[in-house]
Amino acid sequence: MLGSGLGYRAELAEEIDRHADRIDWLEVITEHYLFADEARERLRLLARRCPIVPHGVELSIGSDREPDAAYVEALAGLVEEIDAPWFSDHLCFTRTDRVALGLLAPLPRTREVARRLAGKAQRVQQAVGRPFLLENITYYVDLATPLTEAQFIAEVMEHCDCGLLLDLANLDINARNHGFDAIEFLQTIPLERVTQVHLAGGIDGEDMALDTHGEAVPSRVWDLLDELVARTPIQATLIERDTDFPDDFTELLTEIDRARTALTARPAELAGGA
Amino acid sequence: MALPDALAAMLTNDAELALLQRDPAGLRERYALTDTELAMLVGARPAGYQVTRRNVQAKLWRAVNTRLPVTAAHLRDHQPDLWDEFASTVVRPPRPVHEHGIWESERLTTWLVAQDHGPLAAYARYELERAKLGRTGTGTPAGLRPAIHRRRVSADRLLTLAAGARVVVFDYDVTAGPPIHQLPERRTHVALHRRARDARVLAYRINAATASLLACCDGTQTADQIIERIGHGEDQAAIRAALDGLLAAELVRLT
Repeated sequence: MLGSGLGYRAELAEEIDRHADRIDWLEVITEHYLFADEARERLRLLARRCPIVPHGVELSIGSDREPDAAYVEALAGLVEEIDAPWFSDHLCFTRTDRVALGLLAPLPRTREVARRLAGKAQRVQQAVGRPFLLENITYYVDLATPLTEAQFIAEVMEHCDCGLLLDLANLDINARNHGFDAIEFLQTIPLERVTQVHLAGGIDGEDMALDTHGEAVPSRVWDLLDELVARTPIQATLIERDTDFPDDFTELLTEIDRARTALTARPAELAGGA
Repeated sequence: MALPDALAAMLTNDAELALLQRDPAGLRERYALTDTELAMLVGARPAGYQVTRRNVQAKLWRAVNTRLPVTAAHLRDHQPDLWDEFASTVVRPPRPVHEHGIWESERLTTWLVAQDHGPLAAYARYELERAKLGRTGTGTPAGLRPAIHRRRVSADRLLTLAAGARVVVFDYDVTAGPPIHQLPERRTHVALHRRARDARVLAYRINAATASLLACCDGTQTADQIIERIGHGEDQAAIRAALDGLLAAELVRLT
Protein backbone atom coordinates (compact mmCIF):
# COMPACT_ATOMS: atom_id res chain seq x y z
CA MET A 1 0.00 0.00 0.00
CA LEU A 2 1.37 3.40 -0.98
CA GLY A 3 -0.57 5.17 1.76
CA SER A 4 -1.77 8.74 2.12
CA GLY A 5 -0.20 11.37 -0.12
CA LEU A 6 -0.37 14.96 -1.23
CA GLY A 7 -0.30 16.70 -4.60
CA TYR A 8 3.11 18.36 -4.94
CA ARG A 9 2.79 22.03 -5.80
CA ALA A 10 5.51 24.69 -5.80
CA GLU A 11 3.54 26.73 -3.27
CA LEU A 12 3.64 23.82 -0.83
CA ALA A 13 7.22 22.66 -1.46
CA GLU A 14 8.77 24.11 1.70
CA GLU A 15 6.10 22.70 4.00
CA ILE A 16 6.26 19.34 2.25
CA ASP A 17 10.00 19.26 2.92
CA ARG A 18 9.45 20.21 6.54
CA HIS A 19 6.80 17.56 7.13
CA ALA A 20 8.09 14.80 4.87
CA ASP A 21 7.66 12.23 7.63
CA ARG A 22 3.89 12.76 7.62
CA ILE A 23 3.35 12.38 3.88
CA ASP A 24 3.62 8.84 2.48
CA TRP A 25 3.95 9.76 -1.17
CA LEU A 26 3.63 12.63 -3.63
CA GLU A 27 1.83 13.10 -6.90
CA VAL A 28 3.29 15.53 -9.44
CA ILE A 29 1.81 17.01 -12.59
CA THR A 30 3.46 15.11 -15.42
CA GLU A 31 3.68 18.03 -17.81
CA HIS A 32 5.63 20.14 -15.31
CA TYR A 33 8.54 17.70 -15.58
CA LEU A 34 8.29 16.00 -18.95
CA PHE A 35 10.61 18.31 -20.88
CA ALA A 36 12.04 20.46 -18.09
CA ASP A 37 15.63 19.56 -17.25
CA GLU A 38 16.00 21.73 -14.17
CA ALA A 39 12.68 20.68 -12.66
CA ARG A 40 13.51 17.10 -13.50
CA GLU A 41 16.67 17.26 -11.42
CA ARG A 42 14.63 18.45 -8.42
CA LEU A 43 12.17 15.63 -9.02
CA ARG A 44 14.94 13.04 -8.99
CA LEU A 45 16.03 14.31 -5.59
CA LEU A 46 12.46 14.20 -4.36
CA ALA A 47 12.04 10.64 -5.62
CA ARG A 48 14.91 9.51 -3.39
CA ARG A 49 12.85 10.50 -0.36
CA CYS A 50 9.42 9.07 -1.15
CA PRO A 51 7.39 7.44 -3.92
CA ILE A 52 6.36 9.83 -6.70
CA VAL A 53 3.48 9.30 -9.12
CA PRO A 54 3.18 11.39 -12.32
CA HIS A 55 -0.35 12.58 -12.98
CA GLY A 56 -0.98 13.93 -16.47
CA VAL A 57 -3.47 16.44 -17.79
CA GLU A 58 -2.55 16.57 -21.49
CA LEU A 59 -2.43 13.03 -22.79
CA SER A 60 -5.94 13.49 -24.20
CA ILE A 61 -6.55 9.77 -24.35
CA GLY A 62 -10.10 10.44 -25.58
CA SER A 63 -9.01 12.31 -28.71
CA ASP A 64 -9.59 10.62 -32.04
CA ARG A 65 -5.89 10.36 -32.72
CA GLU A 66 -3.46 8.09 -30.97
CA PRO A 67 -1.60 9.91 -28.17
CA ASP A 68 1.45 11.85 -29.30
CA ALA A 69 4.33 9.40 -29.59
CA ALA A 70 6.92 11.89 -28.36
CA TYR A 71 4.80 12.58 -25.28
CA VAL A 72 4.40 8.88 -24.50
CA GLU A 73 8.12 8.24 -24.98
CA ALA A 74 8.99 11.10 -22.66
CA LEU A 75 6.41 9.85 -20.16
CA ALA A 76 7.99 6.39 -20.20
CA GLY A 77 11.37 7.99 -19.51
CA LEU A 78 9.98 9.99 -16.61
CA VAL A 79 8.22 7.02 -15.06
CA GLU A 80 11.34 4.90 -15.26
CA GLU A 81 13.60 7.64 -13.97
CA ILE A 82 11.63 8.15 -10.78
CA ASP A 83 10.61 4.50 -10.56
CA ALA A 84 6.94 5.44 -10.29
CA PRO A 85 4.65 2.60 -9.19
CA TRP A 86 2.07 3.79 -11.72
CA PHE A 87 1.07 6.85 -13.72
CA SER A 88 -2.30 8.43 -14.37
CA ASP A 89 -4.32 10.70 -16.62
CA HIS A 90 -7.97 11.48 -17.28
CA LEU A 91 -10.93 9.92 -19.08
CA CYS A 92 -11.49 12.88 -21.36
CA PHE A 93 -10.22 14.79 -24.35
CA THR A 94 -8.32 18.06 -24.04
CA ARG A 95 -7.89 18.81 -27.73
CA THR A 96 -9.04 18.02 -31.22
CA ASP A 97 -6.95 18.32 -34.38
CA ARG A 98 -7.70 22.04 -34.49
CA VAL A 99 -8.50 23.18 -30.97
CA ALA A 100 -6.66 22.89 -27.67
CA LEU A 101 -9.20 23.39 -24.91
CA GLY A 102 -6.68 23.31 -22.10
CA LEU A 103 -9.23 21.57 -19.91
CA LEU A 104 -10.59 18.10 -19.37
CA ALA A 105 -13.64 17.84 -21.63
CA PRO A 106 -16.28 15.11 -21.44
CA LEU A 107 -16.52 12.41 -24.07
CA PRO A 108 -19.65 11.15 -25.78
CA ARG A 109 -20.34 8.16 -23.58
CA THR A 110 -20.94 5.41 -26.12
CA ARG A 111 -19.67 1.85 -26.20
CA GLU A 112 -17.73 2.58 -29.38
CA VAL A 113 -15.88 5.51 -27.79
CA ALA A 114 -15.24 3.51 -24.62
CA ARG A 115 -13.72 0.61 -26.53
CA ARG A 116 -11.57 2.83 -28.72
CA LEU A 117 -10.32 4.69 -25.66
CA ALA A 118 -9.58 1.42 -23.88
CA GLY A 119 -7.46 0.26 -26.79
CA LYS A 120 -5.42 3.46 -26.75
CA ALA A 121 -5.00 3.32 -22.97
CA GLN A 122 -3.82 -0.27 -23.22
CA ARG A 123 -1.21 0.70 -25.80
CA VAL A 124 -0.01 3.62 -23.69
CA GLN A 125 0.29 1.35 -20.66
CA GLN A 126 2.29 -1.14 -22.70
CA ALA A 127 4.57 1.57 -24.08
CA VAL A 128 5.24 3.08 -20.67
CA GLY A 129 5.65 -0.26 -18.95
CA ARG A 130 3.86 0.56 -15.69
CA PRO A 131 0.18 0.45 -14.65
CA PHE A 132 -1.86 3.26 -16.17
CA LEU A 133 -4.69 4.62 -14.01
CA LEU A 134 -7.57 6.45 -15.66
CA GLU A 135 -9.38 9.12 -13.66
CA ASN A 136 -13.02 10.20 -13.76
CA ILE A 137 -13.29 13.95 -14.46
CA THR A 138 -15.60 16.67 -13.26
CA TYR A 139 -17.82 17.62 -16.18
CA TYR A 140 -20.34 20.42 -16.38
CA VAL A 141 -21.62 19.67 -19.88
CA ASP A 142 -23.60 16.49 -19.34
CA LEU A 143 -24.06 15.16 -22.86
CA ALA A 144 -27.29 13.23 -23.36
CA THR A 145 -25.45 9.99 -24.02
CA PRO A 146 -26.62 6.38 -24.13
CA LEU A 147 -24.36 5.36 -21.23
CA THR A 148 -24.17 6.85 -17.78
CA GLU A 149 -20.71 7.89 -16.63
CA ALA A 150 -20.41 4.78 -14.47
CA GLN A 151 -21.47 2.52 -17.33
CA PHE A 152 -18.98 4.23 -19.62
CA ILE A 153 -16.16 3.68 -17.13
CA ALA A 154 -17.18 0.06 -16.70
CA GLU A 155 -17.11 -0.37 -20.48
CA VAL A 156 -13.62 1.12 -20.69
CA MET A 157 -12.38 -1.15 -17.93
CA GLU A 158 -13.96 -4.15 -19.64
CA HIS A 159 -11.72 -3.61 -22.66
CA CYS A 160 -8.35 -2.85 -21.08
CA ASP A 161 -6.46 -3.86 -17.99
CA CYS A 162 -5.64 -0.35 -16.83
CA GLY A 163 -6.56 0.70 -13.31
CA LEU A 164 -8.87 3.40 -12.00
CA LEU A 165 -8.02 6.57 -10.19
CA LEU A 166 -11.33 7.40 -8.59
CA ASP A 167 -11.70 11.08 -7.79
CA LEU A 168 -14.33 11.12 -5.08
CA ALA A 169 -14.66 14.90 -5.16
CA ASN A 170 -15.42 14.71 -8.88
CA LEU A 171 -17.92 11.95 -8.20
CA ASP A 172 -19.62 14.02 -5.50
CA ILE A 173 -19.77 17.15 -7.68
CA ASN A 174 -21.02 15.30 -10.75
CA ALA A 175 -23.67 13.48 -8.72
CA ARG A 176 -24.95 16.76 -7.32
CA ASN A 177 -24.79 18.67 -10.61
CA HIS A 178 -26.33 15.98 -12.74
CA GLY A 179 -28.66 14.36 -10.28
CA PHE A 180 -27.40 10.81 -9.95
CA ASP A 181 -26.69 8.64 -6.94
CA ALA A 182 -23.00 8.41 -6.03
CA ILE A 183 -23.50 5.07 -4.28
CA GLU A 184 -25.16 3.63 -7.37
CA PHE A 185 -22.13 4.87 -9.30
CA LEU A 186 -19.86 2.90 -6.94
CA GLN A 187 -22.04 -0.17 -7.45
CA THR A 188 -21.69 0.09 -11.23
CA ILE A 189 -17.97 0.57 -11.78
CA PRO A 190 -15.54 -2.34 -11.24
CA LEU A 191 -14.33 -1.29 -7.79
CA GLU A 192 -11.62 -3.95 -7.77
CA ARG A 193 -9.83 -1.86 -10.41
CA VAL A 194 -9.64 1.24 -8.18
CA THR A 195 -6.01 1.65 -7.16
CA GLN A 196 -5.95 5.25 -6.06
CA VAL A 197 -8.35 7.91 -4.83
CA HIS A 198 -8.31 11.70 -5.17
CA LEU A 199 -9.82 13.85 -2.41
CA ALA A 200 -10.45 17.58 -2.74
CA GLY A 201 -12.88 20.35 -1.97
CA GLY A 202 -14.88 22.66 -4.23
CA ILE A 203 -17.47 25.38 -3.92
CA ASP A 204 -21.12 25.82 -4.75
CA GLY A 205 -21.37 28.21 -7.70
CA GLU A 206 -24.40 30.12 -8.90
CA ASP A 207 -25.59 27.35 -11.20
CA MET A 208 -23.52 24.35 -10.29
CA ALA A 209 -21.10 22.90 -7.76
CA LEU A 210 -17.56 23.70 -8.91
CA ASP A 211 -14.39 21.65 -8.62
CA THR A 212 -11.84 24.22 -7.44
CA HIS A 213 -9.34 22.21 -5.39
CA GLY A 214 -9.34 25.26 -3.16
CA GLU A 215 -11.28 24.12 -0.10
CA ALA A 216 -11.05 21.51 2.61
CA VAL A 217 -12.34 18.05 1.70
CA PRO A 218 -16.06 18.14 2.58
CA SER A 219 -17.77 15.57 4.76
CA ARG A 220 -19.70 14.17 1.79
CA VAL A 221 -16.41 13.19 0.14
CA TRP A 222 -15.04 11.67 3.34
CA ASP A 223 -18.25 9.64 3.57
CA LEU A 224 -17.69 8.39 0.03
CA LEU A 225 -14.16 7.35 0.98
CA ASP A 226 -15.54 5.35 3.89
CA GLU A 227 -18.08 3.75 1.55
CA LEU A 228 -15.37 2.88 -0.92
CA VAL A 229 -12.88 1.35 1.50
CA ALA A 230 -15.69 -0.66 3.04
CA ARG A 231 -16.21 -2.27 -0.36
CA THR A 232 -12.73 -2.69 -1.80
CA PRO A 233 -9.07 -2.44 -0.83
CA ILE A 234 -7.32 0.57 -2.34
CA GLN A 235 -3.63 1.32 -2.35
CA ALA A 236 -3.42 5.06 -2.10
CA THR A 237 -5.28 8.26 -1.32
CA LEU A 238 -4.23 11.73 -2.33
CA ILE A 239 -5.21 15.19 -1.09
CA GLU A 240 -5.36 17.68 -3.97
CA ARG A 241 -5.01 21.40 -3.32
CA ASP A 242 -4.31 23.82 -6.16
CA THR A 243 -5.64 27.19 -4.99
CA ASP A 244 -6.32 29.05 -1.76
CA PHE A 245 -3.58 27.19 0.04
CA PRO A 246 -4.19 27.25 3.79
CA ASP A 247 -1.95 29.51 5.87
CA ASP A 248 -1.59 26.66 8.31
CA PHE A 249 -0.17 23.57 6.61
CA THR A 250 -1.46 21.51 9.53
CA GLU A 251 -4.88 21.63 7.85
CA LEU A 252 -3.54 19.57 4.95
CA LEU A 253 -1.58 17.27 7.26
CA THR A 254 -4.77 16.62 9.20
CA GLU A 255 -6.53 15.64 5.98
CA ILE A 256 -3.62 13.37 5.03
CA ASP A 257 -3.84 11.72 8.46
CA ARG A 258 -7.58 11.30 8.16
CA ALA A 259 -7.27 9.65 4.75
CA ARG A 260 -4.61 7.30 6.12
CA THR A 261 -6.87 6.35 9.00
CA ALA A 262 -9.70 5.62 6.56
CA LEU A 263 -7.39 3.49 4.42
CA THR A 264 -6.22 1.40 7.33
CA ALA A 265 -9.66 1.10 8.90
CA ARG A 266 -11.03 -1.08 6.14
CA PRO A 267 -12.86 -4.25 7.12
CA ALA A 268 -10.74 -7.24 8.11
CA GLU A 269 -11.96 -9.31 5.17
CA LEU A 270 -10.55 -6.68 2.79
CA ALA A 271 -7.43 -5.77 4.67
CA GLY A 272 -5.08 -8.21 3.00
CA GLY A 273 -6.33 -7.67 -0.50
CA ALA A 274 -4.08 -4.94 -1.86
CA MET B 1 -16.12 11.36 -34.43
CA ALA B 2 -17.54 14.80 -35.10
CA LEU B 3 -18.97 15.59 -31.69
CA PRO B 4 -15.69 16.56 -29.99
CA ASP B 5 -14.97 19.00 -32.85
CA ALA B 6 -18.36 20.63 -32.38
CA LEU B 7 -18.08 20.67 -28.60
CA ALA B 8 -14.57 22.15 -28.72
CA ALA B 9 -15.76 24.85 -31.09
CA MET B 10 -18.74 25.66 -28.88
CA LEU B 11 -16.54 25.91 -25.81
CA THR B 12 -14.13 28.32 -27.48
CA ASN B 13 -16.45 30.45 -29.57
CA ASP B 14 -19.59 32.19 -28.36
CA ALA B 15 -21.06 32.28 -31.86
CA GLU B 16 -20.77 28.51 -32.23
CA LEU B 17 -22.32 28.02 -28.81
CA ALA B 18 -25.21 30.31 -29.75
CA LEU B 19 -25.73 28.23 -32.85
CA LEU B 20 -26.79 25.28 -30.71
CA GLN B 21 -29.86 27.20 -29.57
CA ARG B 22 -30.48 29.30 -32.65
CA ASP B 23 -29.79 26.89 -35.47
CA PRO B 24 -29.01 23.31 -34.39
CA ALA B 25 -29.46 22.07 -37.95
CA GLY B 26 -26.74 24.49 -39.04
CA LEU B 27 -24.48 23.17 -36.31
CA ARG B 28 -25.16 19.61 -37.44
CA GLU B 29 -24.25 20.49 -41.00
CA ARG B 30 -21.13 22.44 -40.10
CA TYR B 31 -19.63 19.59 -38.07
CA ALA B 32 -21.18 16.68 -39.94
CA LEU B 33 -22.94 15.55 -36.79
CA THR B 34 -25.24 12.57 -36.79
CA ASP B 35 -28.74 13.04 -35.38
CA THR B 36 -27.62 11.13 -32.29
CA GLU B 37 -24.62 13.37 -31.76
CA LEU B 38 -26.70 16.50 -32.17
CA ALA B 39 -29.19 15.14 -29.66
CA MET B 40 -26.34 14.60 -27.19
CA LEU B 41 -25.32 18.24 -27.48
CA VAL B 42 -28.86 19.64 -27.41
CA GLY B 43 -29.72 17.52 -24.38
CA ALA B 44 -27.03 19.06 -22.16
CA ARG B 45 -27.99 21.90 -19.81
CA PRO B 46 -27.03 25.40 -21.05
CA ALA B 47 -25.53 26.19 -17.62
CA GLY B 48 -22.99 23.42 -18.15
CA TYR B 49 -21.79 25.01 -21.37
CA GLN B 50 -21.49 28.42 -19.70
CA VAL B 51 -19.51 27.08 -16.75
CA THR B 52 -17.17 25.15 -19.04
CA ARG B 53 -16.77 28.14 -21.37
CA ARG B 54 -15.64 30.21 -18.36
CA ASN B 55 -13.26 27.42 -17.36
CA VAL B 56 -11.74 27.38 -20.86
CA GLN B 57 -11.07 31.09 -20.52
CA ALA B 58 -9.63 30.59 -17.03
CA LYS B 59 -7.26 27.97 -18.44
CA LEU B 60 -6.26 30.44 -21.13
CA TRP B 61 -5.39 32.98 -18.42
CA ARG B 62 -3.33 30.37 -16.60
CA ALA B 63 -1.46 29.53 -19.79
CA VAL B 64 -0.62 33.21 -20.31
CA ASN B 65 0.26 33.52 -16.63
CA THR B 66 3.02 30.92 -17.00
CA ARG B 67 4.87 33.20 -19.44
CA LEU B 68 3.57 36.72 -18.77
CA PRO B 69 2.81 36.67 -15.02
CA VAL B 70 2.87 40.43 -14.45
CA THR B 71 0.81 41.18 -17.55
CA ALA B 72 -1.70 38.47 -16.71
CA ALA B 73 -2.07 39.66 -13.11
CA HIS B 74 -2.49 43.25 -14.29
CA LEU B 75 -5.28 42.25 -16.66
CA ARG B 76 -7.03 40.20 -14.00
CA ASP B 77 -6.77 42.83 -11.28
CA HIS B 78 -7.05 46.10 -13.22
CA GLN B 79 -8.51 45.49 -16.67
CA PRO B 80 -10.71 42.38 -16.52
CA ASP B 81 -12.96 43.65 -19.31
CA LEU B 82 -9.96 43.92 -21.59
CA TRP B 83 -8.99 40.35 -20.72
CA ASP B 84 -12.53 39.14 -21.40
CA GLU B 85 -12.49 40.89 -24.76
CA PHE B 86 -9.24 39.14 -25.67
CA ALA B 87 -10.24 35.75 -24.29
CA SER B 88 -13.51 35.75 -26.19
CA THR B 89 -11.62 35.89 -29.48
CA VAL B 90 -9.05 33.17 -28.89
CA VAL B 91 -9.18 29.60 -30.11
CA ARG B 92 -6.00 27.84 -29.09
CA PRO B 93 -4.39 25.45 -31.53
CA PRO B 94 -2.80 22.24 -30.22
CA ARG B 95 0.84 22.89 -29.30
CA PRO B 96 3.61 20.69 -27.90
CA VAL B 97 3.62 20.42 -24.12
CA HIS B 98 7.00 22.10 -23.73
CA GLU B 99 5.67 25.22 -25.48
CA HIS B 100 2.83 25.62 -23.02
CA GLY B 101 1.69 29.22 -22.87
CA ILE B 102 3.98 30.59 -25.56
CA TRP B 103 1.44 30.70 -28.39
CA GLU B 104 -1.17 32.25 -26.11
CA SER B 105 1.28 34.84 -24.83
CA GLU B 106 2.37 35.76 -28.33
CA ARG B 107 -1.25 36.11 -29.35
CA LEU B 108 -2.05 38.36 -26.38
CA THR B 109 1.02 40.50 -26.93
CA THR B 110 0.28 40.97 -30.62
CA TRP B 111 -3.30 41.87 -29.75
CA LEU B 112 -2.27 44.42 -27.11
CA VAL B 113 0.21 46.00 -29.51
CA ALA B 114 -2.38 46.18 -32.28
CA GLN B 115 -4.85 47.77 -29.88
CA ASP B 116 -2.19 50.30 -28.87
CA HIS B 117 -2.29 49.58 -25.16
CA GLY B 118 0.92 51.55 -24.53
CA PRO B 119 2.64 50.45 -21.31
CA LEU B 120 0.68 47.20 -21.04
CA ALA B 121 1.69 46.18 -24.56
CA ALA B 122 5.29 47.17 -23.84
CA TYR B 123 5.43 45.13 -20.68
CA ALA B 124 3.82 42.14 -22.39
CA ARG B 125 6.52 42.33 -25.07
CA TYR B 126 9.18 42.55 -22.36
CA GLU B 127 7.86 39.48 -20.55
CA LEU B 128 7.41 37.57 -23.78
CA GLU B 129 10.98 38.23 -24.89
CA ARG B 130 12.21 37.04 -21.50
CA ALA B 131 10.00 33.97 -21.64
CA LYS B 132 11.32 33.03 -25.05
CA LEU B 133 14.88 33.20 -23.78
CA GLY B 134 14.24 31.00 -20.80
CA ARG B 135 12.77 30.82 -17.38
CA THR B 136 12.58 34.26 -15.86
CA GLY B 137 14.63 34.91 -12.75
CA THR B 138 12.93 36.87 -10.01
CA GLY B 139 14.09 40.25 -8.92
CA THR B 140 16.78 40.58 -11.55
CA PRO B 141 17.91 44.18 -11.43
CA ALA B 142 18.02 46.11 -14.64
CA GLY B 143 21.16 47.99 -15.54
CA LEU B 144 24.49 46.80 -16.81
CA ARG B 145 26.24 44.85 -14.11
CA PRO B 146 29.95 45.31 -13.55
CA ALA B 147 32.10 42.93 -15.47
CA ILE B 148 33.34 39.98 -13.47
CA HIS B 149 36.26 39.06 -15.66
CA ARG B 150 38.25 41.64 -17.53
CA ARG B 151 38.48 40.43 -21.10
CA ARG B 152 39.69 42.33 -24.10
CA VAL B 153 38.46 42.25 -27.66
CA SER B 154 40.86 40.89 -30.19
CA ALA B 155 41.57 43.08 -33.20
CA ASP B 156 41.22 40.38 -35.81
CA ARG B 157 38.26 38.33 -34.59
CA LEU B 158 34.63 38.89 -35.45
CA LEU B 159 32.17 39.96 -32.77
CA THR B 160 28.76 38.32 -32.45
CA LEU B 161 25.85 38.86 -30.10
CA ALA B 162 25.72 35.92 -27.67
CA ALA B 163 23.29 33.16 -28.59
CA GLY B 164 21.17 33.79 -25.51
CA ALA B 165 21.10 37.57 -25.90
CA ARG B 166 18.88 40.02 -27.69
CA VAL B 167 18.27 43.75 -27.68
CA VAL B 168 14.73 45.07 -27.58
CA VAL B 169 13.48 48.66 -27.76
CA PHE B 170 10.42 49.90 -25.90
CA ASP B 171 8.55 53.20 -25.79
CA TYR B 172 8.16 52.76 -22.03
CA ASP B 173 10.78 52.01 -19.43
CA VAL B 174 9.77 48.44 -18.73
CA THR B 175 12.69 48.05 -16.35
CA ALA B 176 10.95 50.45 -13.96
CA GLY B 177 7.91 48.25 -13.54
CA PRO B 178 5.65 46.92 -12.27
CA PRO B 179 3.11 48.45 -11.63
CA ILE B 180 2.51 48.58 -15.33
CA HIS B 181 0.26 51.64 -15.37
CA GLN B 182 3.06 53.70 -13.79
CA LEU B 183 5.77 52.85 -16.32
CA PRO B 184 7.51 56.07 -17.44
CA GLU B 185 7.00 56.86 -21.11
CA ARG B 186 10.53 57.03 -22.50
CA ARG B 187 12.38 55.18 -25.20
CA THR B 188 14.27 52.38 -23.49
CA HIS B 189 16.75 49.89 -24.86
CA VAL B 190 17.01 46.63 -22.98
CA ALA B 191 19.53 43.85 -23.47
CA LEU B 192 18.19 40.49 -22.34
CA HIS B 193 20.62 37.72 -21.70
CA ARG B 194 20.44 34.12 -20.65
CA ARG B 195 23.82 32.56 -20.06
CA ALA B 196 24.25 28.96 -21.16
CA ARG B 197 24.50 27.53 -17.67
CA ASP B 198 21.94 29.78 -16.01
CA ALA B 199 18.16 29.41 -16.25
CA ARG B 200 17.61 33.06 -15.33
CA VAL B 201 17.25 35.82 -17.86
CA LEU B 202 19.15 38.96 -16.94
CA ALA B 203 17.86 42.35 -18.06
CA TYR B 204 20.24 45.23 -18.72
CA ARG B 205 18.96 48.72 -19.39
CA ILE B 206 21.38 50.11 -21.94
CA ASN B 207 21.70 53.43 -23.70
CA ALA B 208 21.17 53.95 -27.42
CA ALA B 209 24.91 54.04 -28.11
CA THR B 210 25.42 50.64 -26.51
CA ALA B 211 22.43 49.31 -28.44
CA SER B 212 24.07 50.56 -31.65
CA LEU B 213 27.29 48.88 -30.64
CA LEU B 214 25.49 45.59 -30.01
CA ALA B 215 23.72 45.87 -33.36
CA CYS B 216 27.14 45.98 -35.00
CA CYS B 217 28.08 42.68 -33.36
CA ASP B 218 26.50 40.63 -36.11
CA GLY B 219 29.36 38.27 -36.87
CA THR B 220 30.64 40.25 -39.85
CA GLN B 221 32.90 42.81 -38.21
CA THR B 222 35.93 42.87 -35.97
CA ALA B 223 36.25 45.29 -33.09
CA ASP B 224 38.53 47.51 -35.18
CA GLN B 225 36.02 47.61 -38.00
CA ILE B 226 33.19 48.47 -35.61
CA ILE B 227 35.25 51.22 -33.99
CA GLU B 228 36.21 52.53 -37.41
CA ARG B 229 32.59 52.50 -38.53
CA ILE B 230 30.93 54.23 -35.59
CA GLY B 231 33.86 56.05 -34.05
CA HIS B 232 33.37 59.33 -35.89
CA GLY B 233 35.81 61.24 -33.79
CA GLU B 234 34.45 59.82 -30.61
CA ASP B 235 36.87 58.53 -28.11
CA GLN B 236 37.86 55.28 -29.75
CA ALA B 237 39.38 54.06 -26.52
CA ALA B 238 35.99 54.46 -24.84
CA ILE B 239 34.29 52.40 -27.55
CA ARG B 240 36.91 49.72 -27.24
CA ALA B 241 36.43 49.71 -23.48
CA ALA B 242 32.67 49.37 -23.97
CA LEU B 243 33.21 46.39 -26.26
CA ASP B 244 35.53 44.90 -23.65
CA GLY B 245 32.76 45.33 -21.09
CA LEU B 246 30.18 43.65 -23.31
CA LEU B 247 32.57 40.80 -23.91
CA ALA B 248 33.22 40.43 -20.20
CA ALA B 249 29.48 40.42 -19.52
CA GLU B 250 29.23 37.65 -22.14
CA LEU B 251 26.69 39.65 -24.11
CA VAL B 252 28.98 39.35 -27.13
CA ARG B 253 31.44 36.68 -28.08
CA LEU B 254 34.42 36.34 -30.37
CA THR B 255 34.08 34.10 -33.40
